[in-house]
Amino acid sequence: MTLIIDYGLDSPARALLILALSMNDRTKKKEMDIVHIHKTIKYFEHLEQKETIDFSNFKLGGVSYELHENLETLQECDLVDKVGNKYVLTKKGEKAAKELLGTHSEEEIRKLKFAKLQINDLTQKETLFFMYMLIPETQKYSTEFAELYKQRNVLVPKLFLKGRINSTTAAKWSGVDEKTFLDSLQTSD
Amino acid sequence: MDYIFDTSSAIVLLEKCVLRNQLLKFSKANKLYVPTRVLEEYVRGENVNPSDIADFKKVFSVINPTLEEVLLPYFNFDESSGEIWVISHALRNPGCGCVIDEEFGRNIATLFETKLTGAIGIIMELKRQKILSDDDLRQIRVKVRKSRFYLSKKLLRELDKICSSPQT
Repeated sequence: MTLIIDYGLDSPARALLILALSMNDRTKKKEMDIVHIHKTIKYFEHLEQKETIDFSNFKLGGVSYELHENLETLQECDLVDKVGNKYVLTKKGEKAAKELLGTHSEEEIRKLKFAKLQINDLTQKETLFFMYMLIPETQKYSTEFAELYKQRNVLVPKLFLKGRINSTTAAKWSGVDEKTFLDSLQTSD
Repeated sequence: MDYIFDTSSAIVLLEKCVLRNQLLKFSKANKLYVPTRVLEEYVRGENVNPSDIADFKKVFSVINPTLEEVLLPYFNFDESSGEIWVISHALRNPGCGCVIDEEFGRNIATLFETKLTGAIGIIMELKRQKILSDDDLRQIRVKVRKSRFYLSKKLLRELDKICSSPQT
């Protein structure tokens, strides 16, 4: 438990940042940009129906200063590195992630893994649209939602075909019935 | 082996591939289940008449699984889709395989490490058990290609592969 105590990783924000960065996404990549970090952890909190991290609804939807500040601290502590616009764990960060795995339940880990699998390889547009639709209160104060919503006929089929939503949700988000939505897809990859 | 089917997989096999008789034969040695929710979705379908529903019930045993609440967050706290009931049953009955074709449901089944196949997997099994003849397989390919029902290109390619490989 050394690293957890030394770097205050018992704080939910720090623990979730380290754990999220230690997991593979659907393309087997671990690296994350800042938008995907915020959205993955927001999604995790939504799955958990908990509000352990302080999020505000801002221009890009649910974002967290708490996460931002803790991410900077983790960089200063040499647990996280920034390569280009992507954040990655350092060797020490990976060791910390292994310690943290033992302090979280199987279900918590599964939910965080799922949140990352669901969104980390999506484009920024797809990610923002997905999160706005999933958690409608994050649309408040958004500067992006109205424009993205106009593109829903493109974004919803993409999310469906990538397996991030089922046909029930896709139809609901498209404002049509399920059969109409499925018929509109034709045959595609 | 026991299988529990999601709506789209049942529709592909029963309606698009017209495998009623073959599935009936298959169901003699294998339990084929659908949750009530899937039957409800099937009944709501376009042009489904009472004889279709009777056939559906001959092939599939309709059951009422207990909802696994652990799944709810993954379905955005919505229990209205068929897949959540399919996976719920498979979680309580590890010997039972989920038959799901929609990618999202497949992702959740994989996350929870349930046994998983799709309509194509069932066709392969019918072929392996020699319930499908070469002629049946040729017809399936034509019917599915003509159908407007959504199937990904990947699934169609797999189907082509099965239909074009000789019976062993």
